[in-house]
Amino acid sequence: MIEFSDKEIIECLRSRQSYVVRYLSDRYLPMIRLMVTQMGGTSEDAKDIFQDGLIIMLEKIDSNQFKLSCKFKTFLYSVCENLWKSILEKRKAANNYFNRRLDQSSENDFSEEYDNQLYESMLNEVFETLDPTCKEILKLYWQEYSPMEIAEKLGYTYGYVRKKKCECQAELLKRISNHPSFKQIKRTEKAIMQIVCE
Amino acid sequence: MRNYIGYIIDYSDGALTERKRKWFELELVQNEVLRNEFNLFEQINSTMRGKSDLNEIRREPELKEVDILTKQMVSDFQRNPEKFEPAKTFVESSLIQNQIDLELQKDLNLTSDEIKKHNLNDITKGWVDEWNSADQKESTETVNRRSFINSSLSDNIQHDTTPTIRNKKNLAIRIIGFSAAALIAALFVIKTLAPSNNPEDIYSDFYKPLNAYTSITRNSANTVDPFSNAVEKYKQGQFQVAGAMFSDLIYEDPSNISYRFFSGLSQMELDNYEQSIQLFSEVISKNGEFQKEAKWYLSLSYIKTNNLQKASVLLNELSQEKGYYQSLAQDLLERMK
Repeated sequence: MIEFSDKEIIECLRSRQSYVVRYLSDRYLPMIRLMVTQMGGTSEDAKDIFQDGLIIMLEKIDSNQFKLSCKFKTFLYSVCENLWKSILEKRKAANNYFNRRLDQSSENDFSEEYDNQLYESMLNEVFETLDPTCKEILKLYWQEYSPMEIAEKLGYTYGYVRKKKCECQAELLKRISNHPSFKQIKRTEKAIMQIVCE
Repeated sequence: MRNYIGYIIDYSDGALTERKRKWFELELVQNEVLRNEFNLFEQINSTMRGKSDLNEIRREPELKEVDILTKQMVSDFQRNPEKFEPAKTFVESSLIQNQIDLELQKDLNLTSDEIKKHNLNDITKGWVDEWNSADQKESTETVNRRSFINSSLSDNIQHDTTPTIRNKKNLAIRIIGFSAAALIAALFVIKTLAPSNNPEDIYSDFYKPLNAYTSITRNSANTVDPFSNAVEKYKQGQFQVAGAMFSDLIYEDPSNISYRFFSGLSQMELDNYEQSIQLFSEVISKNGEFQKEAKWYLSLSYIKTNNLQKASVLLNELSQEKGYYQSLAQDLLERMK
């Protein structure tokens, strides 16, 4: 993935370069999805929140009142979090109507919410079982460090980092595939697919 | 069962050669086990990356300050939704291509499962073998069938009668100018009716979408080359989709001038003149392909945005350069006087 600096992101948004929106979606939707699902929402909620959050940012960038006082992603996160909190408050406030609605929809959303939590805790648990070098390398990799940068930071050779990263990723994938919680999530997904397709 | 993990990791890191990447993408469509493994791998990476971002942001000291400001922004958004309409249109149209890609992938996966379920691979392989082993001399029925298919397609696609596989980079984009007769007629009408100098009127009299065609190319997976596909969308008048597709292509290959030029054309059709001005200016600054075309459409974009001074500079340049746009530029300059 090509990385954009904060300045480039703002310039590209100002000049309406669509690809930067798709870059932001690829890069930061996972983070917003985690935040929303940790606060009781679904993946669909997260997509809506992310989209509206970007719209808010864009309007402010256009109006020239906007000054980036911290990282772009922090700003975006903060907008999305406040947006999601406001929606949660509205849902709470509209007692009768929303209670009924949530009751009806909770049956549908329950499995996804449950699976999200299960998936996240399983991922953390399995990750912790990896050896310390694996954990160090993968953490930096997920922070967008290149293998060369990881090698420099940890004092390994480039070749070792490349090889070790592949081994660690393969091991993580294998352990997750064989984890009982993963099999349980797959069973739920399969059951849902059958209900939807029949 | 084949172990794909090395390929999955290299594909995800962009470390596969072009040939292996194409093979892997084809496998992804056809092989359900690989697809599931790949999806899980991507899911793990995106979740862990998201988690890493969240941890970083939640530790940032500026977050509290930003929080006060963003609360106001959210409240403004909820109270005055109409103010955010232009931003909404742009964000939604930019994200639509992601949705199209996802839908396309879903369709491909479903088709691949159907093929497996009904054992179609064996049947169609038999048909292809039969076709390949048939006498080279075509029967009358085959000639008739070929003629029917070709004539049905010729309205939309300029194509060879024999399928060829071409490299994307060798894609020949040929541009057909406007019909000279139609243009002369149009200019005649313009002159006889003593037209106004209003930039809007000048623009609508001189602007026409580019009449371009591509040789539709297919890669080894027999999918249409994305650039040809995007040009087709432009030709079909699906400018929103074409714009999003060109924008994707620019993202993949920012140095490609053709992508920027066609993106600019799509933006003109969507009335996004600021964007078309930027894209055409970039094409001109690269000093490569589409120089004259970009100057022509940039000058029209300037006229549309009432920037006649800048348009004149470009049109003067064009009127000095031999070629198709020379007389057009002279006529347009005359009209602007």
